[in-house]
Amino acid sequence: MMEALSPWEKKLLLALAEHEGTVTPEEVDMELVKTMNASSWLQSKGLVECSDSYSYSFQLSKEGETFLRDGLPEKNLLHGLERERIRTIEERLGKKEAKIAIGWAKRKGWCDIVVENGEKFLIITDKGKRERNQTQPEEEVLAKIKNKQYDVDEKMLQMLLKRGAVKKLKGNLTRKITLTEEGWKVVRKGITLDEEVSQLTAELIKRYAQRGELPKLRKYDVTAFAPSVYPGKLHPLTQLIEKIRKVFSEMGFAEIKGSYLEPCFWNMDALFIPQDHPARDMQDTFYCKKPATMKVDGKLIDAIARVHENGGATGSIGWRYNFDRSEAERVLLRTHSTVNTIRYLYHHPSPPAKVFSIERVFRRENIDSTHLPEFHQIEGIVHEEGASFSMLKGLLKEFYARMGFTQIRFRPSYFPYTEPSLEIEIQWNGRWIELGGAGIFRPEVTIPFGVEEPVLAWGLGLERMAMIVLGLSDIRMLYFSDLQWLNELPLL
Amino acid sequence: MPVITFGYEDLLSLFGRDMDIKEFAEKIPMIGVSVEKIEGNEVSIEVFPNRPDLLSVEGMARAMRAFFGIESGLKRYEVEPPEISLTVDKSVRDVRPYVVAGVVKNVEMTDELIASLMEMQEKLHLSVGKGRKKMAIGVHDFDKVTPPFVYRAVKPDEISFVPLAMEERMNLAEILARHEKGIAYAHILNNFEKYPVILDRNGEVLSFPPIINGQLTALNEQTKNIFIDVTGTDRTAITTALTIVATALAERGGILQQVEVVDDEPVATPDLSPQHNELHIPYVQKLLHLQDGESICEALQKMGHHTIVTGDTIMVESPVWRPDILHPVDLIEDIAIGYGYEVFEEELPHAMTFGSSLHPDRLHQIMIGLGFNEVVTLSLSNPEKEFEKMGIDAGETVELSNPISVEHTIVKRSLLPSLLEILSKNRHNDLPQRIYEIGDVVIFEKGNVLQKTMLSGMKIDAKASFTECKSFVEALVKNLGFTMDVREEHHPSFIEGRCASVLINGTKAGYFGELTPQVICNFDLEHPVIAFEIDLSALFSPHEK
Repeated sequence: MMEALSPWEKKLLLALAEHEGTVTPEEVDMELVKTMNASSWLQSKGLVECSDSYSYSFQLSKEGETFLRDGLPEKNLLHGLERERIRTIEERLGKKEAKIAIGWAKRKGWCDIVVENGEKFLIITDKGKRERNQTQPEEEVLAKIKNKQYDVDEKMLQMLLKRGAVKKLKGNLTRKITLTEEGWKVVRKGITLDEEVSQLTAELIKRYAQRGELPKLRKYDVTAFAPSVYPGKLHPLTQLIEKIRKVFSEMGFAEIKGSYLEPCFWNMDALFIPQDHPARDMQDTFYCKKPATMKVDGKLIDAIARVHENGGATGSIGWRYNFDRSEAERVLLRTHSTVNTIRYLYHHPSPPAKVFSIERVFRRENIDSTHLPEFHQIEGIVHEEGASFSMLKGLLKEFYARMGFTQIRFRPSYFPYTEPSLEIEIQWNGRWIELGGAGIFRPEVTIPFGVEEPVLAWGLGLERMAMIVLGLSDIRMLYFSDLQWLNELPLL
Repeated sequence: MPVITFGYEDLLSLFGRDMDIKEFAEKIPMIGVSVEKIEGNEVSIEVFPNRPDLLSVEGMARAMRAFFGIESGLKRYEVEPPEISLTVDKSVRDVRPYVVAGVVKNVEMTDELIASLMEMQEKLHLSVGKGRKKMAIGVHDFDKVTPPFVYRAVKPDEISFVPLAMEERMNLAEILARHEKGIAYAHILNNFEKYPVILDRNGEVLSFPPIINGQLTALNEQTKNIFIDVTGTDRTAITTALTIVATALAERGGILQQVEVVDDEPVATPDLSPQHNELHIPYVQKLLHLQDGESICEALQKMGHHTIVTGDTIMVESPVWRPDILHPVDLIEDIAIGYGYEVFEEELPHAMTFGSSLHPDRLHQIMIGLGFNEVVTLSLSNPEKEFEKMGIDAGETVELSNPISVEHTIVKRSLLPSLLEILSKNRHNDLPQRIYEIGDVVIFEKGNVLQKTMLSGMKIDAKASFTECKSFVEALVKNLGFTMDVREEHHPSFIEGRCASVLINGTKAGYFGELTPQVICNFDLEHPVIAFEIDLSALFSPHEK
């Protein structure tokens, strides 16, 4: 312990020993700041006890000066009075001043107010007559404060502070430093002040190189506090995305990217979502005023219109309604990233293909602790000869296992564009939590684009997974981040 | 998605067997519904929109009886041929063209039945009926009126009657203006000159679809026989709804009788004859890897289908209340559910493909190395934040037609305003703060919409200078292997003479500098801020990022 003391700490200990174990910083022959610091460090080491007290000084305000010079307003008010109309007093002193003076006089029991013929009168009481010529305790306190004597009646002082007659000035810290039992032990062992160096410098190294001389290098208390530094780092959401990217690319998936703005055709129609489906409602989907439309190949619209109306050549009976072609080119903010995969299939209809995307999608939601108008989806497809329901299960299980979720179950679900459809749930803290949907694309979705083999598809939530991994209860933490929170958060 | 609520005891009595409620909660999701809530005897179940037949406690019990093997295969109901008719007048063609109807006799009006009828009508109106627009149901005390019935459209003031929950006669216009349901659903009849009504032989009003029924035919505890009408704009929707309601009543012991609906041709409704589909066993084998025809049939029967195997083909008869069967693939899902999702073996894809990632690894590495913290912000924003506070002219930007809040009305064109907002939210934290974001923006270029990826960074500190900012940008560009040229730039968000554009291979790729005190104050900040924004799309094709 002894070796871990700085020269200043040692000096302070010596001064304490000289003063029988108790000093104030002023009594120590050291710079005040050094003494204060050294005493704090010694206290953290348990060698001294610091007791701090603040002492305040006071000053008369302008008002206080007036009170002292001219007397208290309530005293002046009563001077030479028996009874008077309140209105007359108000006229003489001004309404505000009169109110204050009468208030205090009443509080002291010096006067009463009576109403006669609808007119208010001030009547001086006997107590008032007796006391109005005496020196008031307030005046004594004011006089003392004026003389910088602060040992005054606390109650009276508080009242004068409240009346604004006295101002409190900044306090002074008085510290008393006392050696502890442990401190005495160190002192008794003897303290020597060697020439010690705390900072190794280039000069010292040069001296050592030339002459082999080295002063004693002071030991550090290795347990002492060191200030925090923070590395720059990836946002936790990006870290999670990066982990997912790694898992999918390791599993042989290629990443694809799409656009925020899509025509209804690709986001909805091509995915066999009927035009009266609630997801297409203005309530749920952001549509664009500008640009309002986007060109789609008329032949494609025709083909998909037939699928909706009567199934076209897909072997389906279709939704059996009149497809409104003008709706196909209407622009929206993509509501799911399945639009990326259907576009990919359109351009790459031959198997095999394994692609994924982790991208933003938009839903018309108000912001709260679990909702945002935009969030990310983890999307992917497997298109290969012999792709099956078992493969979909196996693949999702493998993905989640690689993400660290081993308790997983699949249950029936519904999406307009997949059949069979399933929902993925993982067990977390004893509860089943829904993480996403998956299925095999319907023939109504694949056949119009010449895709013959089954396509396994899934769309999983990123933010919900992030909230589980990070233990978050508020999704807003991710998008409106507190930088200190990010600083303190360990890497995933 | 619609949620139906019912008493668990009622479900069990229809199910016909005891089941612990915990077991129910665990097993019922495997039929294809979600348990929303269980509170004592009250159960709330979320039903997917493809299965409106589960939107009643009776339908749920029917599906469970098949699934748990009490009564598997196609459920058949006795239906008596029509004795009464409902004539469709041509006047309804423009406003609400289709109607079907049915009679259910010998009904015992229990509290459970009344509760179930109300619940299923409400939920069917919502999901199948799209808020009564596409389909609406009316349920009547059959004995209060005299057939034959007619469905016709009349002028709003032509007919008056006492609607449900009222005591006075009102004409149709008054109902739309004053009746609670009239006000709620008037929008469906907007722009029509005539409104549809169903009348009996004596001109008594049964209903004013899709708004309200007459008080005359209101159900009560003494009701013995029920008349159901379903009107709408979509034949599939009304047929589905009628079979769901009628068979639910039959599940509780009612006797079904058809009504002759006389339109161009007379048809007897409800028509409960099953739908027929051919299912090729190899197709099932391909998608589900189930080899055995017998277990395929067994699974279909558990889902309420009837099966006849002929060679490689299964003739499947499916209930008419399952409108979701559009393609044999829909039967494949039923096979998967009947077989049990949890029972399928798991396997991995076989095809050899190469993995790849679009992660902008090098960019992040440089920024982190420079001591910047990555942040993530929303792409949606508003003109005040994007333009006014930045001191720039609005120009062209992607605008939403139906924003949900004033905060989010446009798609942002730059990442800088959102980064400033992050700094603004972090005023209580220590300086310096260095943040960056790699994100997409959407801009208009020569009238075309372009989505671009930007890298933007910002530092706020007691001191922050143009020179320091230039050092950051140079470090970034050099480490990406480019050389950059710099040219003085005039940008209203930046101090004049303290802003520069970055040129890479002669193309402008971004800008940087010191933000003006005005911009700093607009975001409630109190210290100098340096900022840069680089258009990555100008530097890399997506696969090189």
